[in-house]
Parts: sequence; C-alpha cells; structure tokens
Amino acid sequence: MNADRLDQLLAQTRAGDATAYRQFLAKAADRLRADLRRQVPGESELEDIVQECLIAVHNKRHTLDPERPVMPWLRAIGKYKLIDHWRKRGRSLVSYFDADAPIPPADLAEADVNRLLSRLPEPQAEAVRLVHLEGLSGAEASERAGIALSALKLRVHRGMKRLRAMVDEHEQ
Amino acid sequence: MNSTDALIEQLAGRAGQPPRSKRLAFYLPLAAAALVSVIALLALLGPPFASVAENGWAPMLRKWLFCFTLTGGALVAMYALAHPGRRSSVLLLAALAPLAMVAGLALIEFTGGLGEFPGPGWERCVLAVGLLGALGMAASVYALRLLAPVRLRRAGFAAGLFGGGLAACAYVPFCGEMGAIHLLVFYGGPISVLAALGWLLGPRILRW
Repeated sequence: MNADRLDQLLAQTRAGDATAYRQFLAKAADRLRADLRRQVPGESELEDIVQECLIAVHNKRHTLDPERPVMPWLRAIGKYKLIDHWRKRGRSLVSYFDADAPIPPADLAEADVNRLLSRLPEPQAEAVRLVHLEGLSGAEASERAGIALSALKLRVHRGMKRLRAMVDEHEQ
Repeated sequence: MNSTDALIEQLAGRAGQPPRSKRLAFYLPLAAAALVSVIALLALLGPPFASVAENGWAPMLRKWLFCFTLTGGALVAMYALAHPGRRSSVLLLAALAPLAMVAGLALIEFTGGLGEFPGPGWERCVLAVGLLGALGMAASVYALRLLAPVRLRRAGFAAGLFGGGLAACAYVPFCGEMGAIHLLVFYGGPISVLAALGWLLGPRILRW
C-alpha cells in the first residue's frame, strides 16, 4: 500500500506537483527508517543514514524508470547507503570500539557531569553512565541496558563524542 | 522540526522540473571510447582487414560474433547495474556466455593439438585488447557514475568486461589469427583481467 502511494506521489511530482514531492520524501524516509531500523542500533545513526538516502534519492531520481515501482529502487539505495556507511565507519579514525577508553579526568574537571549527561539523548547518557561512571564492562553494561554489545559501544562512542564537543565548547 | 524534516523541506524546495534521463550521456563516453580505439588502431596498425584476402571473411566474422555478443551482453548488464533495484545476476551470466562458448571451442581445438599456438603477433593482441580495454573500462566507469550503481563489484566487473570487449571488437579487423585457443587466451585473458580489476576496484571507483 505504501509502495503504491510512493508511486502515485512520484508520478504527481513528475507532473510538477511540488507538494507531492515533499510528501514523497517524507514517506520514503518512513519506509527507509522501517527497513533499516533492524540493522542500525542507534537512533541518531539511523537518521544519518536515512538522510544520506534522501539526498541520494533526490540526486539520482532520474535513474528510476517511470514504468517501474519505487520500492525496489528505494530499498536498493537504502541498502547501498547502509553498506557505504559501514564502510566509512570502518575507515573512521575514531573507531567506535574506542568507546571503552577511559575519560581523561581533566576534560570534565570544570563541568558538571550530570548536567552534561542530561543534555545527551537518554540511551547515550545511560550507556556512558554505566561504562564510565559505574565502571561496568561492556558486556555487563549491555546486559544491564538490555541491548547488544555493539549497540552499547556505539551509544557510548556517540555519547562521548558529544560530551567532548560540549567540554570543548565550555572551554572556549 | 528535526534535522531529517529540515532536509526534506530543503530538498522539496529544490524539486523544480524533474531531471532528464541521462541515457544519452551514459552512452556518449562509451561511443567516444570506441571511436578513439578505432582511430588509434588505424593510426598504429595501418589498414584493417589485411587477412581477409588470405583467409576469407569467415574467421573474422566468427571473432566478431564472439566480441560483439560479449560486449553487447556486458553493456546490457552494465546499464541494468546502473539502475538501483534491477536484477543483474542473469544478465551478467548471459554476458559471460560467449566466453564460455569460446572456452568450449578451444577445448575441442585443443584435443587436436595446439597447432600454431601462440602464433605470430600474439603480444600485439594482448597489448591492443588490454590497453584499449583499459580505455573502454575508464569510459564505462565514467558512464556508470552518471547513473546510480549500487552493486559496485558487479558494476565494476561489467565495466571491465565491456571495456575489454569493446577493445576486442575494434581490434578484430587488425588480427590475422583464427584459432579458438588464441581467441580464448589472448582476447579472453585481458578481458578477464579487466573484469577482475573492475570487481576488485568497483567499491572504490564507483562509489557515489
């Protein structure tokens, strides 16, 4: 049903209806989110990939034959962008497996940790609390949070990155 | 409004006229590579079809049949691979069918002995198909990047197959060899190397 609606919206877009294009992108984002959610643990990471996909959909929309349905095309782009995201993350200088590294105390010395943590999304704050404040191992923390170890590490990594940015901001 | 909603607003604002199909733009670099290959061969190797007077048209037409079917199959596979969501496995296998057929013929020929293999001028065949094939492959990669390949290894493989096949098509009129073993080894070899390179490098050179 959704796929049919996407086809209709894209057909209306081709006929020059700009509102239909906005609706098409919003529906496409929903479908991509639903498709990718199982493979992407973190919400912010998922949104990053969905946004990559939307840009790709916009830039490469001429590669969709009007006679063909949108969904297989959209799904293929989603899968490609997911793999590309993994590839990029694999090459990233900051590996998310670094998330277990201890926080240098000086970085947080002048800041109120709890206040900073409260500015993080709750799942990330919880992950940072468990690993870096309570000192649990990755496995223990993932068990406590009820998520996979890889998801836990990712949350800690993202949380730490944000915290570091906040501390840097605070120091300037 | 979250950042995805903001992005949607931004993209929707740039909807404008639907972009034109880039079908012509896809084929142009491929045609240019074919033209450059023919011109280069004419300039370097002199007039074509020199062997026709001695051997007739049949051997040349057989070689062309192999090269054109391989190149055509690779082109169809490459075009499908440049469009997300299209099936490509069968097309890729079909593109490889001429190579398998020549391998079968070479095996039959081999049972009767190697004959004059490798024959005079085999280095020229390897160089022509390999170097001009690299040019054709580069044009294919450029063409693919205009569209949206999502299976990058397969697309790279098809680009190598097409580039090598295109070079072989252009080179056939300048080659006096007739055997299936020669065709398999000195045409099929460089074509396979280019296809393998495309498979290996696809994820790097076709990323968008």
